[in-house]
Amino acid sequence: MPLLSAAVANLLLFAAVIGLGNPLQKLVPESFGPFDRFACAVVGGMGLLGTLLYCIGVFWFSRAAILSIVLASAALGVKPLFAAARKFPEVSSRIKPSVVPAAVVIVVLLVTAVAGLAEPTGDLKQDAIAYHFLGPKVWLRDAAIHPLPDECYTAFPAVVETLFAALFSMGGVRAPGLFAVIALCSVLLAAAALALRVGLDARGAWWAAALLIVMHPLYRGAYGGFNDAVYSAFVLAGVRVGLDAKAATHYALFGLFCGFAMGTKYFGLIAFVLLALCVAGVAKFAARVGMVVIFRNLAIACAAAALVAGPWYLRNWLSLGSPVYPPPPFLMPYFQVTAIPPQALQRWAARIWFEGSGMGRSPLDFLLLPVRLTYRSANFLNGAGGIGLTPLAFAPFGLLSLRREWFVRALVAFALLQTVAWFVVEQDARFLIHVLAIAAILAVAGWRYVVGATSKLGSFLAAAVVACSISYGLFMVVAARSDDLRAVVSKSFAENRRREEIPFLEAFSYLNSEPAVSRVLVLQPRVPTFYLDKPYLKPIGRWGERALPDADDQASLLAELHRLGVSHVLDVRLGDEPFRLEDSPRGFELVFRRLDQRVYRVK
Amino acid sequence: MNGIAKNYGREPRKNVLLSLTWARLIELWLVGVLFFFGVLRLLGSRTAQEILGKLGFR
Repeated sequence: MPLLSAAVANLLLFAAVIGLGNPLQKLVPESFGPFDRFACAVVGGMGLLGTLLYCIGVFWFSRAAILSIVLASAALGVKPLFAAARKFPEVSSRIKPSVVPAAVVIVVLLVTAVAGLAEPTGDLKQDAIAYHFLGPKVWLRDAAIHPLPDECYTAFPAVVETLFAALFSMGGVRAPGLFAVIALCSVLLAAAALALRVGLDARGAWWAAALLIVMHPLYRGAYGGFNDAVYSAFVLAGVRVGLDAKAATHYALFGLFCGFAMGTKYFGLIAFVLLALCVAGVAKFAARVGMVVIFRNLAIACAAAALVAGPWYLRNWLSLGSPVYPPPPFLMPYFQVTAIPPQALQRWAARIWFEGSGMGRSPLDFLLLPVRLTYRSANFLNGAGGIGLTPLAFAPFGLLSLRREWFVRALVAFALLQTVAWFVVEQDARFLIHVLAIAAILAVAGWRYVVGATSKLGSFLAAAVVACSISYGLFMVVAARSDDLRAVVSKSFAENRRREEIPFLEAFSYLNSEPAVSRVLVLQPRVPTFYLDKPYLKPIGRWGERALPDADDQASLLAELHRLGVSHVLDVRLGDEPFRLEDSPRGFELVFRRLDQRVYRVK
Repeated sequence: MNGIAKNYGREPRKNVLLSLTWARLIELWLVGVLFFFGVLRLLGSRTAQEILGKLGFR
């Protein structure tokens, strides 16, 4: 039953996405074919649904609100879905599947669908447990979307996390895991639309999709609470529309896609600026449009982007003191935030800088990136598993063969600028998915070129490169999801996994099942409160966030518990850190005890 | 004739790299990409790491 409800919730969500995304087809350039339009509808629909849920959810985020929005949107999607079914022969002829790449895509999607039904487990090292799933769970409990005072990352723009919240509400704790299938489909649709525009045929688009789906940074960015695949789908859709934009409506749609990207990740801000530069370049040098018209069109795009992304940044500015929260070092002098001490912010920024250093930030390191991303991908955050050999082996030839196309030149310029920004800001392989998609498309074009320019030996070597990439990538995908797959098919394995991977499971089980628990004080910052079903108060967060003004003063905090409505205290021993409360503290009754876990009732 | 004259009657030496065709260069490039993939995978394996460690390369 939990599996079925997770599947139904995702189907409902997808219908809602189609319902909201369908009207966007009126904004696309006339040159777009049915497949491009469908891709824009799916990707745009996700952005619209996430933004709509947020705008209403800030004030009202009950199950009734979520169901009303999703069902109303899904009702809008019924007609377009039937229309799409009627048009299917026309669309499918444009993307007629090629057996091998289609099989690769289907196998990965099937693995993802089954593994996605596993219950989320893990500690705070898992971003899903730390904030991607924690925020939605608390928002549903509080019936309002808001940043959590003990977890600053829940203040990130969260178009995808609001979808997770809707899925939690409609389909239970397993539903967001299954969303990975929709996330993968969205980025593949956007990439395939781009591949067709670049000049590949349907077979080439399928190969690009197959090469892309087995690239581990992309796959990692689609499951386990990560939103990077959807973010990249927004950027790629923005690229597809922006570089072919002529009329004001096209620029508005381009702005909407960039706005959705900004509403998903802060990196969307950088992507928008870089993409706007490339779009302006194409308009100026390829279409010979005047500067006044270019500025007017870009202003339209900016307005559309601000319309959908603005609410996230405005909320942060008004409630937390900085539109980008937590503020990066260069913004700290301009925006004063009070919920995180300056020292904690500096430590956080230093850690992000260190972890995002990859294999270095010198010019030589940049030049070596193609080789390192291919052969030493594990040295980049979330890069383990690699991107295959095809971008390095074929993309230069793809670029060579398509170098006269304005669209391709702009595409490559954007990829290059985006890679420079990624290299300087944070070298996490997941943040480069849209560049990898462009590389995969160029790789397929290059493969074609190599086969045409060489003898049988060249074709054989090219096939070997593709075979190595896909087989190794497939192996890594299945290996990454093997525990999830086992947890879905074996109840005993799932139970063992819960016991091993969920820290302080016994204490959480006690607190969740005990009716007298109304609000829990969590003293240790690194306790994963995602597993706590009751309201809680964590005075100090994992990055040093202060949920209360006197969070550092434990004695005065304990004296205020009745006023704060706290009924129980969870105290744990984590690593070398001892319990926070002394043995037998006055005013508390020890009601649950394990070796490293204690729960007290406030007398 | 000039080349033969300058080389005292022998055939002029051919520069191997310059005599490679574009197709051959592409094939060489692909061989290189595959070679490094295989070699690095092998070197990255636990057995290879242990052997390299024993030889003092780690």
